[in-house]
Amino acid sequence: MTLDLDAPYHRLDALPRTVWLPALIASAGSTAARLADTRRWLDALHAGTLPPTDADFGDAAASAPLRAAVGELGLPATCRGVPALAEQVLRTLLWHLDRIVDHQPRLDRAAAIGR
Amino acid sequence: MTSPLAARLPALVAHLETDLLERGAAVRLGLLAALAGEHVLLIGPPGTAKSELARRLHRAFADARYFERLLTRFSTPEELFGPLSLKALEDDRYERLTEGYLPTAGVAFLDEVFKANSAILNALLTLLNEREFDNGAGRTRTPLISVVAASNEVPVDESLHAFYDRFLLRVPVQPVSDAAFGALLALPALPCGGAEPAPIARAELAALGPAAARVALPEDVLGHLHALRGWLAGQSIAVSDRRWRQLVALLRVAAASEGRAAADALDLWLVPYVVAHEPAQVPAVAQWFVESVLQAAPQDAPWLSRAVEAFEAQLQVEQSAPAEDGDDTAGKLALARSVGGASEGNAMLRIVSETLEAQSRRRWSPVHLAARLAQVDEVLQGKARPARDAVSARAVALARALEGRVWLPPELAARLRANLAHTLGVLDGLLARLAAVRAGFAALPEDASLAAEVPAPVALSA
Repeated sequence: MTLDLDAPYHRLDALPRTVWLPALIASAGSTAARLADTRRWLDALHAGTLPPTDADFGDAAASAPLRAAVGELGLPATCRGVPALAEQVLRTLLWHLDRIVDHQPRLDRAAAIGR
Repeated sequence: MTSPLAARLPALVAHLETDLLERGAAVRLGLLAALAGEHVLLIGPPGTAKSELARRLHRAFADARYFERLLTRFSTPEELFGPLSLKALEDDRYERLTEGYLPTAGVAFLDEVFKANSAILNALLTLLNEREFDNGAGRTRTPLISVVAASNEVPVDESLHAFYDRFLLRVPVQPVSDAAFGALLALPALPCGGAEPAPIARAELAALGPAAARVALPEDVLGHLHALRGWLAGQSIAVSDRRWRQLVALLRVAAASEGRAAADALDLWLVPYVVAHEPAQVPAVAQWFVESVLQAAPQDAPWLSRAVEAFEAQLQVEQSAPAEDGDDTAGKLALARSVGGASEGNAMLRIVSETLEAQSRRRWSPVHLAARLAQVDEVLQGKARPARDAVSARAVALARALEGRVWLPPELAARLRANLAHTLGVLDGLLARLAAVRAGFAALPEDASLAAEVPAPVALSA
């Protein structure tokens, strides 16, 4: 056992490189939850489903509408068995999460999430 | 209070290893084993100073006769234990004249020990175990302090395992490394005749036993030994109950001889030489000690580094991001360039261009900037800084613990210090990069209008 210098970033090891940057720098939620839930989202999309609602990147308020939108658009079914597409959907989702702070303070947070 | 022996040990060890290269561990283990009444097996090719080490070891003890033999399949008991006494035979007694042979030695060196035949090995087993020698009808006490044995390899014959197990410390000895080869060639032809420190008296040796018995084994040391047992099981390395008991006794002697009232985690550097069944296992157990006991392995923090790289990349993206839609700076810039073609207008053009280029960069909301700074701070203050502080504290604690150590080889101490210095260097580098990233995000142009455009709260009517 050595000093744990890498947690929670060691979770990147379980993720494809294509989602490292958005998973790390998205400003919503918490780093640990975001990295853990990114893996859950990828697995769910790859299986053609939405992840459990608690896979919310540590920001339930912000991720719930995005989860709903992904479901309404039928993206999980499209992503089934296509890892590259699942990664693209996830990158987009994380981009939108990161974009929330750009709408503030012109909009309050709830409105920014709605946007 | 430091005992006279503890005060003399550094000089004794230094004298023992004079002009011996890369034998720090072997020298210390040999002397410590002798103090603990244990025997040492040096495993390695010929010409690696094994016999020289044993010869020097006997001079560390007062009144310790030295005995040395190279054993072969054809060695006879007479060569080790002395010739039969003809006079005793006349009296129908089967006795040996042991004077000058192994039964009267204090320190003995037995080269190629596993090549001996079973008659010799059986007698040796009793001698090593009980320090007694069956001479005819009687059993006599021997003055044996320690046997240093040597072998090219670990015995594969199962019949030799019991004898092999009698050597508590099994120390691999290799030819000097390339790094020390130059020093090997430059060694003086004649040994330096420095003053020999006063040898260890039998009374001091006898007093060490009771002192060792009083040495405490703290909970953390016991915890490490419990963990080691599990780890060894995972490595399929079996250690007998007797060997565990002997290991604990050795730890106590190590602490007592250094004048300590309790063993500590650093004493566990001895463990690889006791529990490893063969030389190839020693490095893995030594690594267990460095990683699991001392947590002093060099670390590169690869995933923390990825996080820093990610924020560096994001900063570059945001520094070079163009202004959002609706900005006509690009058109103004093109116009300025088209009208400022003359050379006298270049300075003005540069000023105008710089101003317009600055305006062409994207401006960020204060909430965005605050979020980025908070994110970088999470890595910097939340992870990298505490990690650096923890490693630094460990380095300080290690340096303190290493003070006054006689047994822990200087090469190992230097490696432990270097390992932690490496990790500190990695973390210092990441901290510097994070500080630069933070400054970069803090310097991103802010869109002041966004802050000014915060709408007033709207009262909701019923």
